Amino acid sequence: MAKLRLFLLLGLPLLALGLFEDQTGTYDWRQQYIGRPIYTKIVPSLNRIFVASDQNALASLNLKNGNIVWRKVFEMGDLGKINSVIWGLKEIIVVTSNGQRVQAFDYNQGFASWEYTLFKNNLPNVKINTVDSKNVKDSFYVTDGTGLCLINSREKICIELPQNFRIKKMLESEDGLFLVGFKDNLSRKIHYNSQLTKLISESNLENLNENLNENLDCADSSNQLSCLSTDQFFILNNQISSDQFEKLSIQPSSLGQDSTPRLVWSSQDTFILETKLNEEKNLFIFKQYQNEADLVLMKKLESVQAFDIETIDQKNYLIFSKYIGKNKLNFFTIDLKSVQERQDVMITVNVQNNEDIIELRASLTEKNSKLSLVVSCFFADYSFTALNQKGAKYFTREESLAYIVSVEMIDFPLIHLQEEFEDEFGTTRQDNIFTMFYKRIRTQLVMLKEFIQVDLGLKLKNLLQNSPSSESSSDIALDEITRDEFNLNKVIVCVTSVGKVFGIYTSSNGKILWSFFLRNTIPFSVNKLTNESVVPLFVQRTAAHVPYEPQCAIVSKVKGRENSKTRVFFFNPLTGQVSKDSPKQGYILDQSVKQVFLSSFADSHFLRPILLLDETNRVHVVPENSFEDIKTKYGNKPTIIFTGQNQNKNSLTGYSMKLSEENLLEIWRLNFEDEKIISIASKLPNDRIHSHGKVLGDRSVLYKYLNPNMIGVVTSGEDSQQVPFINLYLVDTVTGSIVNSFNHKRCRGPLRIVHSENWFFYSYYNMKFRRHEVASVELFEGATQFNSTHFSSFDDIKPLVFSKSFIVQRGFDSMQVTLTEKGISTKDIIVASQYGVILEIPWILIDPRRPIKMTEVEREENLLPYMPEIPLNYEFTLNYYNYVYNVRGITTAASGLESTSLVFTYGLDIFFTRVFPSKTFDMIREDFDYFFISTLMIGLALGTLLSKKLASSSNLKKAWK
Amino acid sequence: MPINSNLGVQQTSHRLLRYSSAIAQCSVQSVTYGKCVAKFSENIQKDACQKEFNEFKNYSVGIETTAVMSESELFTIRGKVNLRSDKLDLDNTRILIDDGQHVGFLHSDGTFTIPGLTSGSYVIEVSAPRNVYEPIRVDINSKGKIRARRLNLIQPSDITILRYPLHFESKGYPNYFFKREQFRIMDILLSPMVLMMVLPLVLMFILPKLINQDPELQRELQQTTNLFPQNQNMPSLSEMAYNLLDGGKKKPAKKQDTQGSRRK
Repeated sequence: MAKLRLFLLLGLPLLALGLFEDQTGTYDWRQQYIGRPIYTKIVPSLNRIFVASDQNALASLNLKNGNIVWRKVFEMGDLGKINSVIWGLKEIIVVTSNGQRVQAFDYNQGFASWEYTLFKNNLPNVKINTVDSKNVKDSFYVTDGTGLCLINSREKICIELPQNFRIKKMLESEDGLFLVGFKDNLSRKIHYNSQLTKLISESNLENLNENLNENLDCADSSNQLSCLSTDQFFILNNQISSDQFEKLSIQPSSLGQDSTPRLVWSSQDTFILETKLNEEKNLFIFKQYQNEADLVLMKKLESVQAFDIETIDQKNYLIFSKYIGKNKLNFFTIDLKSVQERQDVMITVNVQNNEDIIELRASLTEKNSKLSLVVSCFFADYSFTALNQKGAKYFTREESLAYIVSVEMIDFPLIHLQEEFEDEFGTTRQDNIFTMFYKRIRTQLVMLKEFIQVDLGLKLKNLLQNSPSSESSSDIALDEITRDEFNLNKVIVCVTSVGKVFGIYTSSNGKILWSFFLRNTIPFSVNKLTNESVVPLFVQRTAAHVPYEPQCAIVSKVKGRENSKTRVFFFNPLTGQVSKDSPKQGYILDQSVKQVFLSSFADSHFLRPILLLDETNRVHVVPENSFEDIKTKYGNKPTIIFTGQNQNKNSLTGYSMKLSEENLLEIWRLNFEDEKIISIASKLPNDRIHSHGKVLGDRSVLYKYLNPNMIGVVTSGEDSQQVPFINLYLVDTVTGSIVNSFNHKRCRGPLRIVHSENWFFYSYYNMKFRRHEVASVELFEGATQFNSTHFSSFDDIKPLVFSKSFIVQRGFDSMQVTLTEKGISTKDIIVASQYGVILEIPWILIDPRRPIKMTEVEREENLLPYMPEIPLNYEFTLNYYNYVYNVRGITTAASGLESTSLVFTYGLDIFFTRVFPSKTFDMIREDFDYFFISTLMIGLALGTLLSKKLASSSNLKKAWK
Repeated sequence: MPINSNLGVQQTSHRLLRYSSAIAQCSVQSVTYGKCVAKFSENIQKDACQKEFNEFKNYSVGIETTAVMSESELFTIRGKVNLRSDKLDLDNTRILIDDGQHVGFLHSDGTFTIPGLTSGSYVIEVSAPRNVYEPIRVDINSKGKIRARRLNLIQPSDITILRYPLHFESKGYPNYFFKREQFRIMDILLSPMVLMMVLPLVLMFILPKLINQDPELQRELQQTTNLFPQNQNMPSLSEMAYNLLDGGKKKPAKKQDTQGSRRK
């Protein structure tokens, strides 16, 4: 055993090709994101902007350039959900996991300073109210509706609120803490002393009960409670010390046509109401004069995008934004005391995206009685910007990149002269010999010109500048990018669940080549529990079919009534523009669809149309004009498609589809009685298989069971003793038969599974031994092949099954298999874990044929002996110390070099790198010493010449003796 | 299996106990239900006291569930990470419990506390980009007693107790990278190929010279060769090889050579 271990230790560095330290950042890059900010604070004096996001991250950004100074990523899901943030004087206090935990971080470096549990009951979607206490130093009141706590860095004092009390508002005055809310349909006010040790009074609020129902609309204000009665148009105002409400009435006519105004802010005598009409927001500022009961409309602000209230020296300012003309965004400031616009504090800025502002945060600072304004905007396309007073943009961050759901890597066209070639050889009938000759000469002249201009010019430039890579220099113009020599650089097309689509260049640190925003996009929900959603992206035509442009399609739901409409949007993945002759807003289908897939045949324009299966099992072909084309190609032969996952997620159905007929025909159905489908694994569409068999040590061949119709279905369930288990069924989708099945008792998810060639690899958690495990399954036909030319699911083949399971140190968030050009290189597994690392696990370690007892033949084949644990060495780490968190998916693509596979991971952060599963066998290593080898060669040549001369002269001397 | 069924029995008996205490708490409802039953005791019918029973049931079940909730007390794990100072690690170190089920962050002095844990067994890992730490398994029993032990995935029964509060000591820098081979003269000189070439050279050129310089040694050498008189019949190994390879061509080559030099 010791010997084996030694062998492994020595052998491992040879298995996976790790990185050299000086290679860092040469082809890999990482971009870090935060997500949609829900709490933002700008601190111009510290030059920082602090953000808490819906992706469970708390971060400090540099205000000037938007770089992340520090970032804390909480747990995924509900546990790490940020419920409330208090921007304290010294610390940021964060309430997370449904009010169960409170943590404090210091502003400067982001160190945690204290944390403890807060409320015991874990109520989903709890609303946390917080108040920064003025009476008790450095303390805060926090309530989750059932309990109330006074917290500071040392301790918490908690009391329980009366049962069935629904809190509406928490206010603090010199006398103590007041809670206003409802109990048994009566509005109540509860008064505690500041230390929460004594309940001072509990009283009914008479006035409120008579006039208002529970849908009370109360404003966010500091020292009073003001609520708007929406049906009667008066504001109830209550200075917290008294039990009486005063009635302040508004003229309904002053609010215009909208009858559902909202009270958004109030102070002692100023009230701001908001109305919405046709997606347009209007603000109304009302004022009360000398305790009169009627409010006076002071100002009406029309078509306001967003607003924020800032207070300095007890003066309140309203900052709001508005589009004036196209692409011109203005920010105005209104002094709420005089209700006058401050002309000196105004920002005008040009924006390209022209999107609505979801959230606006403003920060006013006063210096020498001069106000200066800094604003941060979060737009509907999830871009996050900070602006200063002069209208200069500090930074723009594309936060939607934290929400990527689908990715494709697209090749560039071979050379952009290809169109010329196509013109030259794509002869039409009219061409005679002379025009053809002319075309040929012209093309070659253009090529010569191109060569001199581009190639020589670049080389000369590089020589002069002495920089080896041309990509790093300056900006890249879109139409100038062509495929590089080994097709290593591509466009990564990323579709986000927000609806923004990006084209990212794999080189030059992930520069965004183009982006566009598809408004009203709603993703398809895959798993309601985990909030998993998807916006499918398909490559319909690659760049290889000049003069046709490459084309991609995005399928999503459209926001609207019941969100039942489906949109298919076509665009050119190289430029990000809408495809020619396709509708600008995409193709809208009135039905909602349950399955979308790419046609397996292309039409006469080399375009693979998209087939949509709607709820009534009807098939739609988009674009419609290619229907006839593919109908003839599909012919009368039925194609089997399968849809999984009915409502209960426990059955799988196979249908036969004939494009000539309307309806689908059900041919098989698999019912998993008490089990739920948790995952389905199929081959990647561009998975290449190089060889049909494996050559064994004795030179015989073990043929692979290469069933193209096979999928892996993973189900979970509980047995009669409520012990959970996991089952893997290998299902043939043509016949619906189960090829094989595997059972893991006392195991549960998180489950990740990949399938390629003739093997499956999956990870699960073993509850018995409390550890994460992985298993690999490989199927073989045996020493002979049933049919060497054609595979049929109806052939009677009983595959040989090899399977092994291994222990791994930690579970995996996401898993993918590497892809190469021809599939000759071994296929490694790329996994991402919560730890922050992305690992490349070599196939040789997870080979299910690793023998427990080694024979001579197996040693000859270079199999490793079986060991229960797969050591996840640090050398396997692809992203070295650039950790990435919450990885949701990994995409791999082949490059022009057989040895190289491209890997892109997305989640909260995005990361790109190249991997070499079988080492770089087709490349000269980059540390290859050209100088050494050339001096050696020259030296040897000179030596030969010299010695020849010396030899002849010595011979001459000898002859003279 | 027997262990398992035992556990099931224990659980059910535990739940029954909870019911009895819950029923005890809702005396008002139980009394009304009892009264109702007593009222119809002469000829009781199904659903006669449905309303009272439902009230009683709802109330007691409500208490039972709240009892379960308050029962799951939350505990806190404390520890310290000994950091080698590194800017990247100060910012990015995360304490992961059970693969990120819970996450903790470092205080400025390297300590950490992770609140909100129910009793159970957890694996604590420190995720730091520039330091390696060994994971630790921590067990919290229902009373809140915390025990730390070394994580052994292969043999879970093998227990090595570690101290609590947890202490993570950095095991050094994780070797993400391979070392580049560097060009060094000594490496080349010490490589076996070079040694194989150098040693014969030494024997060929330097040894004869040394012998020539030292007459005493020369004499000794002669004596030793005289001690073992050469067997005239046995051909020497070098001679054999010579003959085999190009012994036959030797003479013409010499001739040509002499001719060539003469021409010159």
